[in-house]
Amino acid sequence: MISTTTTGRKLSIGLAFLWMAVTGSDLRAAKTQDTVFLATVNANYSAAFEEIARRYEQKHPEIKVKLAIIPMQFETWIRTRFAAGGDMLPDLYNCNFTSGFDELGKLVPLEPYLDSINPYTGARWRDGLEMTIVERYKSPAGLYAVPLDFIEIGIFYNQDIFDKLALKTPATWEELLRACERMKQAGYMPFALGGDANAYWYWEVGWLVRLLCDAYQRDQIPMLAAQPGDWDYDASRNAGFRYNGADLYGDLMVRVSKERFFKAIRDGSLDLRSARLKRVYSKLKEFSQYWQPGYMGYDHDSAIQLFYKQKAALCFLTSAHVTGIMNDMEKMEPGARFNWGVFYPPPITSDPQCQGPFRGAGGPGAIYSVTRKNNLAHERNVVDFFMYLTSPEAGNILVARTLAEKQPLTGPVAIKGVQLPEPLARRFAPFLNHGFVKIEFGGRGLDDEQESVFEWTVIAQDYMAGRLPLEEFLDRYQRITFNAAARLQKKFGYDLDPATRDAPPRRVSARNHLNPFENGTLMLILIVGTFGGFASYHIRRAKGPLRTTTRVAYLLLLPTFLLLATFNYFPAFSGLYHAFTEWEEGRDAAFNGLANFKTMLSDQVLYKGLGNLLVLLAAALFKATVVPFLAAEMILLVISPRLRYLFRTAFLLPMVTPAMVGILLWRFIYDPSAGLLNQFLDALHLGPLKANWLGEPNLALASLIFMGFPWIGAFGLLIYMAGLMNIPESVHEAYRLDSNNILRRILFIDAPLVKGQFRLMVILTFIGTLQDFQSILVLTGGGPGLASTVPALRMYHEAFRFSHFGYASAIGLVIFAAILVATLINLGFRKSEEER
Amino acid sequence: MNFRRRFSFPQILLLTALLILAAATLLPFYMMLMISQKTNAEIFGHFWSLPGGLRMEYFSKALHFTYRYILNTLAVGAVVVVGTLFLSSVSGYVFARLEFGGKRVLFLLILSLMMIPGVLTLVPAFLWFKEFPFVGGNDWLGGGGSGFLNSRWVLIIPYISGSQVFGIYLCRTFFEQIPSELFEAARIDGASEFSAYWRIALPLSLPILATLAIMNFVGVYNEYIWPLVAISDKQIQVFSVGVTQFGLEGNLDLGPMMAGYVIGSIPLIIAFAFGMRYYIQGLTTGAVKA
Repeated sequence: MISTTTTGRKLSIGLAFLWMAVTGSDLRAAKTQDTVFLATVNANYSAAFEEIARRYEQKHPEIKVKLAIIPMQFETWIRTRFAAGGDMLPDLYNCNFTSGFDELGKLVPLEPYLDSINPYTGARWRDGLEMTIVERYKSPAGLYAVPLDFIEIGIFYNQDIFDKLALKTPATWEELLRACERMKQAGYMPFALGGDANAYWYWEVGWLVRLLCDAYQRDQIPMLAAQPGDWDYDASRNAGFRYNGADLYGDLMVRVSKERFFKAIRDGSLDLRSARLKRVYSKLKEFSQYWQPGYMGYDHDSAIQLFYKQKAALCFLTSAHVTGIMNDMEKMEPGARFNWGVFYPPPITSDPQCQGPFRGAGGPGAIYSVTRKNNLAHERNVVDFFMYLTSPEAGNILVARTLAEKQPLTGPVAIKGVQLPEPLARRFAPFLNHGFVKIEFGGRGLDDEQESVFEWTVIAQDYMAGRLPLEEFLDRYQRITFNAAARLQKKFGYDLDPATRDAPPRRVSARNHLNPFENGTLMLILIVGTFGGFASYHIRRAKGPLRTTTRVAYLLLLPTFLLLATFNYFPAFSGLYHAFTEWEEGRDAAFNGLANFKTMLSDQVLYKGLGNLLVLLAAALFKATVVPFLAAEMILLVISPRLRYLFRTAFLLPMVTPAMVGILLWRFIYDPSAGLLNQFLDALHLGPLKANWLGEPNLALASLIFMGFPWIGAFGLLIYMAGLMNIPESVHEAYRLDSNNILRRILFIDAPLVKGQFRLMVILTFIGTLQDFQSILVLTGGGPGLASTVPALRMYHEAFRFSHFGYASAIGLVIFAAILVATLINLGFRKSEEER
Repeated sequence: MNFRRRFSFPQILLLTALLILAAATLLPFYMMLMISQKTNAEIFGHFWSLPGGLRMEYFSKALHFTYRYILNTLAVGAVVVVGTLFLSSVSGYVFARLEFGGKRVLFLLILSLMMIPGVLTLVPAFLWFKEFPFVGGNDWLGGGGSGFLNSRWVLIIPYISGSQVFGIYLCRTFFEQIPSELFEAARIDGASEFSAYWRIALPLSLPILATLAIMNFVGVYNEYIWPLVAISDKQIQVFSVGVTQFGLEGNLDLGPMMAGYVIGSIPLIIAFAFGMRYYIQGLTTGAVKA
């Protein structure tokens, strides 16, 4: 059976070659009924794609074009489609979501097709494309992707402010800084940018670091390029490469060998403590004096608001924002509109160490690959449609329809012969022809590995905030990189000998099918079996009418216990079990004893988090025990019952807003520009006290503690009020005969009588604070740096950012142990109290 | 005499202090209401002044991007509340009124779940729902698909399962207090165990079920971390997670954003308007947990 299909496939491929030989060497489409399936994340192009598809169907009535627009969760979607295969799998899709699929043989190599004739232009396919852009997306495995457009970054400026100050668009970096200085003196905020962890990873700060690192270090490409004899050496790309600083595209085709890269880091020939990188980070810091005050508390979006509201004169955005801003300006009230323009980050000219102008740091926009379906006739139909999609006719539809729909055009189009209408052509011009950043070394961790990105962000934020001297920052970064290189080497399976090609470590399934923690089906059977066994044991033991009752009882309890065992007990035991395993994304859990706990002992982030947690805990205990107790006393001292009720209700009122809205309101209260707290200080003429409450490393933790002021929690208030109202009136009357001092009464009569309530609040607060990271995640993300991180947040990051599930389970287990100990101590207290 | 006592100097002092504290507590919510009606110019120019007029269009604008999240949360909440009430009252009834072998062990098993904090189960539960066999494209070993993730079940199932723990405890305590004569009379009339539950226990327990329902609903409405990690599809995302991303959707002004916060509070306002009493009762009873 199997052999017939393989023979059949071989036969059809053979026939196809025969057919090619007869009809000539070009790969024209066959005239059979077929469907071409395009799946895209680019929802902005959906109307245009619809029209292009209809046009294509008119030209080829035998072909149907099916479109799937998946703007969200595209990666998950496409991966499940690949798993399903067949007709479920699209023929064309945004390939930048599935890195590595080309090397896995899941995609069709497009190089042969590029040299064939595109029937919609009459020339070779390659001649109709901007090949400098296409070549950029060539992977070590070959060319598998063709982009329709690309996204490039640029500096957007407020033309009106520039005109008012008689400023020209700067031609050099030094002019840019001088212009910023002028703006600052004139009372403007020169530059607005995001400074949170995301901004360091994939927004403005990350872009700047990439630009600077490439500008200062790109002469090192020859050292990292694959050499003759290397397994990944490609003579057509690397042969005869000479570094030439003046040629922005000179190294575009050159293949950098990752193995050489990691080797250079491991053997010390590539060191981060270089004079070049010192220049990179000094330049960055020099520039940062013109960023909005407290920029570290801003994310990209809130920073852009400053530009929109004309508070800042400059900001970093991408070509994908151009049409959006044009549309937004139209929608704005006339008084709020302003003229704006774009320029590319200008070159550093005063520093001989700098190798040349900044190169492009953008990325792909709409870029597509053809999936391999082992059906040559179909594949040719797909490629034929792809050629049409990249023809000037389709390209012009793409631009015209997208603009007519008021949708953003993500960037300059990579198809030759496409006319952009004015003023769009003028707007897009600054994004063109900058080459592409080649050296990705010196910032943002190492090779995009999330753990190193996180570690770098922490120390980079500390450095930028002036809490870490440059030398020490680079020193630590060197260590981070060195360790990350070892991890990556293991991940890729490199032996650091570039001459040999190393197989990536095979995903061997180490799953023990008899271990219920690794076999869900077995676990479910065990759960049902255990409950069934337990039930039938007791049913059989019961006699007479009791047997019927027992049977009914177990029948009625069945849903409850199946749910509890499956979804509450099992995860808890799974957590216990997996705390002792190495369990990472895509790999099966492997027992590793106490290794996770040893790692914890040297986990600096965890230590820092523990310190923060102790501070938060002390504050939380005060906030939850003392404050609501005093508030409850105050309310009960009010004589008028109506006012008493009114105040109680007032303090309970915050419950009616969702908890998350409460957190977000506090985010707004702390907002440095529009926030209530700073406005309040302004109103009191305390302007100098204004601060960026969540963005300053010294203030972030204090701001988290201050949140919810005056901390009269509804729960605590109710508990204490109930407790205090239980005190017999006679006790108070007896006291009144003695003394009139209410404070003494509260302290020496009331407080001891609500000891149980105090104990309850202490234990609940302890349990809650140890686990809680929700508001921290939303307000600061644990930053800036590590200023507000806690162990539970570390657990969350380890699990959901680095996919270290085993280690995260271990952290969870330790937190659980702490909670358990506290609960047991509490039970002990309660018991001794009751015995007394 | 009474008047003088009520407005004596210490009382005035006390009332002033309470008034300031109440004002500080409610200030953020007052600010939310005010800003929801203000233009950007008014916010940045005259932060403390009243809005220039009612801007109902801000609410319609906000409704446009909140309604889906709210409906998703309400849908999940409705199923969870019904499921929890049913399972809690049935099991609570069984533990309160029926005698059978193994009862003590089973009840202790339920109570001990109250000691297990979410921090221990977050990561393993996430992976268990992801690798649940035979669901969401998974094979028998839990590979190949995404399991329960990104479906409403990933919220509904653990919420029901988790909240029945406290529910059973609450219902059992309540059912134990119902005089057993009532049930015996029914049994003499030939009622089955289920109809004794359905006809006698359930109607009597409506207040306790109301408590359970509102605590459950508020709990579901406020849940954040679990939907954040378990659901990535915007179409079924809940309000708590969706609301954190308002600013990211288009160039949204502060006014409509705050209007969105207000709209998101409406379901809770309605719930509390009807059930504040029950909720408070539940909170104080829940305190016995520790």
